[in-house]
Order: sequence, then structure tokens, then C-alpha cells
Amino acid sequence: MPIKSRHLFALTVAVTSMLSACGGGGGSTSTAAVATPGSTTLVASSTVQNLCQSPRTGLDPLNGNTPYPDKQGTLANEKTWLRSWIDETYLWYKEVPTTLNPDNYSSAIAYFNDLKTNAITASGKPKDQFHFTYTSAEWDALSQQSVELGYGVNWATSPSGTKPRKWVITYVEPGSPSANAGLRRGDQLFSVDNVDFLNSSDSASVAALNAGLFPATPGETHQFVVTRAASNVSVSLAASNVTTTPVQNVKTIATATGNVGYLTFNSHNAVSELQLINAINQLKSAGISDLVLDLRYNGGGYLNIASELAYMIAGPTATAGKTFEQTQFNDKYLPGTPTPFFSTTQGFSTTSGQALPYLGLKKVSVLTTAGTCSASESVINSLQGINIEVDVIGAQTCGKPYGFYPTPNCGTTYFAIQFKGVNNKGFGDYADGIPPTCSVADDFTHAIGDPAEGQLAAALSYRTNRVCPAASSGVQLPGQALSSPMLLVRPISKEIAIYTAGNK
Amino acid sequence: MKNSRHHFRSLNKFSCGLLAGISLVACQAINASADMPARLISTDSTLADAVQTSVQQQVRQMVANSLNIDISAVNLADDTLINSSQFVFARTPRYDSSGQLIQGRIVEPVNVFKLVLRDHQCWLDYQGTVQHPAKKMRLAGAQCKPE
Repeated sequence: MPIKSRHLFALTVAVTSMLSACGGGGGSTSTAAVATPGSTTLVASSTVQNLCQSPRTGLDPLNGNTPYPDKQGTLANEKTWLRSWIDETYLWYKEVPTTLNPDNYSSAIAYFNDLKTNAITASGKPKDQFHFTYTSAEWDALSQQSVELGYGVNWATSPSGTKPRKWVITYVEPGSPSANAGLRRGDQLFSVDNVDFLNSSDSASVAALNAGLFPATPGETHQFVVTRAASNVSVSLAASNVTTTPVQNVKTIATATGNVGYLTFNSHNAVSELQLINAINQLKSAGISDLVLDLRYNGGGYLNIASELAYMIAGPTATAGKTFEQTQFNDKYLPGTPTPFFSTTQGFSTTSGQALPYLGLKKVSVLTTAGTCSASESVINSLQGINIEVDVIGAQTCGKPYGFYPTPNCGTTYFAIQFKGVNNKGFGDYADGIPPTCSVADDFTHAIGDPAEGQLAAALSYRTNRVCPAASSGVQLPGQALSSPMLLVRPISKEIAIYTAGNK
Repeated sequence: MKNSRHHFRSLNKFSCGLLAGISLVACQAINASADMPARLISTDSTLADAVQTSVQQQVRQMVANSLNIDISAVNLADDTLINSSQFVFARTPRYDSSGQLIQGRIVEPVNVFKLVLRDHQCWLDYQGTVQHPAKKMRLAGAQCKPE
């Protein structure tokens, strides 16, 4: 937690320094607003912040019912703020096109969307794939960690958007309505409240599908039909505030060459800290000699928890005095204070300052998909940075060694990449993702944690003979293989309900 | 200091377990001297349900007051403080169009709320952050047990 404060402080100091250098710190808001975005003459963003084309009125319920900071300004003011803020903090600010004419954009968000690098990675992907906006009201909303309104079912969807739609259960939360109803990994959605899920596209059907898939209140009951082994299974699900379990399936797998520990880790949320500690204690007591860490659906979360996990895998000898991750900003700022491998709890879900258990392993197998992202990639990269052998089994990870300090202006919160995390060796260039040691499809025909499941089986096999199975990619569904990966569906985010267009 | 407190709690639990059949009063005397992580006692009666609803409302109010947000924005799971002595409030996870967390490397502080048994009463403690000061609130009518 103090890391953030230091970073913010560093940014503040650096911005102030830059103001002096540019001579822009003393202007009033009225004079600052006449800057010419796209030119080399920029103003300090702070001088035009909160000058809005349509200032919000009233009180902010997410900030103690205090008045919004907005003042009457113009669309030009908002664009000037964006151009200057990007120039101050964007990691690749030098690569932002200088030829953009702000007058050609009808909104600040449209302008922001182009205020980024157009460079591409070695594989041909855009260098910056993480340039977002969100309404501040949504972004600032707080909620209880590890609690989600829904049925406790997690879906993956084919990315093509074509019909028939294909949604498949990745896993269900233990003890959730879905688990209690008998839903399981690999089930494919067929209908919701008697509305055809596969092909319906009229607006009434789309609304009904959304209403059933994304319940608004606890207690709502909806009827679902899923296809399993060529048969349809009907269940009735009542929505509730489901407590999710980020660490699951902790077990020991006996092999001819020793006990192998396994755990599924789905989210670096606050609750996971204690669950990880319990898992490591359990595996340590079982005397495991190797570990398979399943991060295939882990899109990240708290970086300090990633650090704790890496420590618990590698132990004190390998991590002493080493950097878990160091934050690098653009050349206007000094690097951040290195994050160490934390050897004690950080107080997310247990009292802070307690010594963490550890396994002290020299190698680890990590199961991955394109959904393995951010803090999860930091676990892999940080261990590789201290010469722990990491066998990556599955698919290329998402490639997000970057982060933001989300910044609001006029009711919109902007996300522009501001830092990159590098490991103890100074490496953090994996914008194309961390490549797998063995390419293995995500196997929906077996339960997560089943030693026969494709990725876990490959990890166990590779551990013994150092030979990858025949390469496969995408997903293996019951009776069908898809060569392309599926995208995770997040029930908490309405914005990806994506049915409004009626063609997905 | 933290280690010694933890050690004390362990010792305290051990003492209580050992002496449970002999001297409950003695254990309560020990408990009264220090905060102990605690969980709400869940019962099934209608009367108890009403009490639990009242307690949960107090917890929601405490969260709202601590974080300076409207109580309508505070939703809690039914098993809050029943299966764990603490819970965390933080920014609601948001995802991009590919289902990835927008903020996957979080360095923001979390808001931790802990239930403790203090002088035979149930207290909810908010640890505080740089943004919000720490608070303590007694939960009227609540029943809790050491974790």
C-alpha cells in the first residue's frame, strides 16, 4: 500500500518539476485553456483539470456527498487536459502522433482514443492494447471483495460473435447456486427462461437473455438449459451474493517421482491472501517436491499478493535482497521503489506482519491461457528473474506488464499506460505475452484439477520426461476442438453483456 | 508487538480450550483483557434473523461512514463476518471487452473491516487508510465468538 503513495508522490513531484521546465505552472485556467493540442506547446494538465463542457451538478454519493469538482469550461478545455496529461504521464508519450487535430473530434473520449502510440509489437499486435475510459461513477464504486451477485458460474465465449452463440462453463464456485444445481465445467448454454440462447437476435429475446444472465437483485430466479454430452439439462437458479473462492482444488498428486502439489488460483483479490497461505501450509505439510500452479483464469489483482505468492513458492534463500518487480515510468520520472518479495503478510485478509510459509522450490509449473494476465504474469516473470525454472504449460499469456493510475476528469476516468513492471533482471518486455513451454489446449472435458485434464496432464508429463505433448491450442470441448481461445465472460460487468447489438 | 499479540491469542485459545469444562468464567476474564478476532454467531430462529438483520444494517452503516459513501452503495454477502472475522471493501472489479481486468496490477490500499471481541462485546474495527481515518463501532445486539 505505501507503494502507491510513493508513486503518486513521485508523479506529483515530477509533474511539478516539469511545470518549471516548461514554464507552464503559473498560468490561470483561462489562459491555460488556449493551448493547442497536437502542437509542442503544452500546458500543465492541472491548470485545466475539471474544466468541463458539461459540469456535473449536485453531490457525489461516492465522495461523502460533497460537490463535484467540475467547473464550467469547454470541450476544448477537456481536450487540452487530455493532451497535456498524456504528455506528462503516458509511458510512450513520445510516440503519440503529433498531427492529431483536436478539432476533428466530437468528444473528449474520441480524442483520447487516438492519443496513444500506433507502434506494433514484434508479432504485429498493437503495442498499446490497454487504453480505456470508464464513467467515474462506475469506476469509483466500491464493493465487498470476493462477493458477486449472480449464480457462481463462470463462462467462456467464442470470440467470433457469430451464431450459433457458444458459451461454455469454465468452472462453478463451490457452494454456489450453480454448484448446488449440478452445473459443471464444459456445460454449454442452450436457453435462458425458454429463450433460445444460440440464435435469438430480436430485442425482446436479447433483453430476456441479459436479464437472466445478469440478475439485478438477490433472489431472482431464472431457468437455464445447458447441453451436456448431447443431452439437455434444465436447472433453476436463484441469484445471490455469492462468495467466491479464489484458491481452489488444493491437492497433492502422488507420482512415481514424488508428490506434486496443485492449486487453482483464480484472482489476486484480498480474500486470496489467507487462502494462499492455507494452501501453501497444506502442501508443505504434504511434503511436495514440485508444484503446479493453475493461473489459467487469473487476470491479476493486487500486486503485493503476487509478491507474497512468489515468495511462498521460492522461499527466503532465493528471494533475499531481490526485487519482485520494479516500476518504470516514462523518462520524466524516476523508477519507483522496487517491490520486494514479501516474506510477511500484507494485511489483505489476515493480520499483517506475520511470517509467510514457503516451499523453497527451484522450479514450478504454471498453467496458462490468454486469460492469464497482469499480476499473474508478474508471478511468472518475477520467479524467472531470480532463476526459478518456470515451465509454462498452456497458451501464451495476455501480455500486460503495464499499469495505470486511473485519472478522472469531468466525469470520465481515463486509463493510459503509465508504467511497466520489470523483474530482478530488469526484464519486462512481454507485450506479446509470455510464451508457453508446451502449447496445450484448455481441456473442458475434464474438471479443473483432474490429473487427466489436458494442461495438468501435460505439466505432470513434462515434469518427468521434459517432452511436450503434441502441440494443441484453443479449447477442447466435449466432442469438439476449437483452435482459437475463448474469452472469459465476467458476470459483474454489464458492459460486456454485448447483446445490445443483437448479433453476438 | 504484533508477534507477541498473536502469541498471546494462541495461548489464550489454548488456555480456554483446556479449561473449558472447568472454569468458563476464568476464560471470559482472560478474554476481557484483549481484543480477539471474532465471528458473528449465526442462528436459525426468526428472532435471531431479526437481530442479524439489525446487525448487518449496523455493519453496512459502519462501512458507509468509514468510506464516506452512501449506505445504498453498500451491499454485503449474507455470510459476512460469519465465516471470517474480517472483510474487505475495495473498488469493484471492472473488465474490458475481452473479459480482462482493466486494472490487473493493483497497488491501491484496501479497506479492511475486522470483528473483534472486546470486553465481552462485539466491535467492528475499520483499520483506516491514507484517505479514511480508522474507526471503531460496537455492534449493538450482536453475538459473536472468538475466531
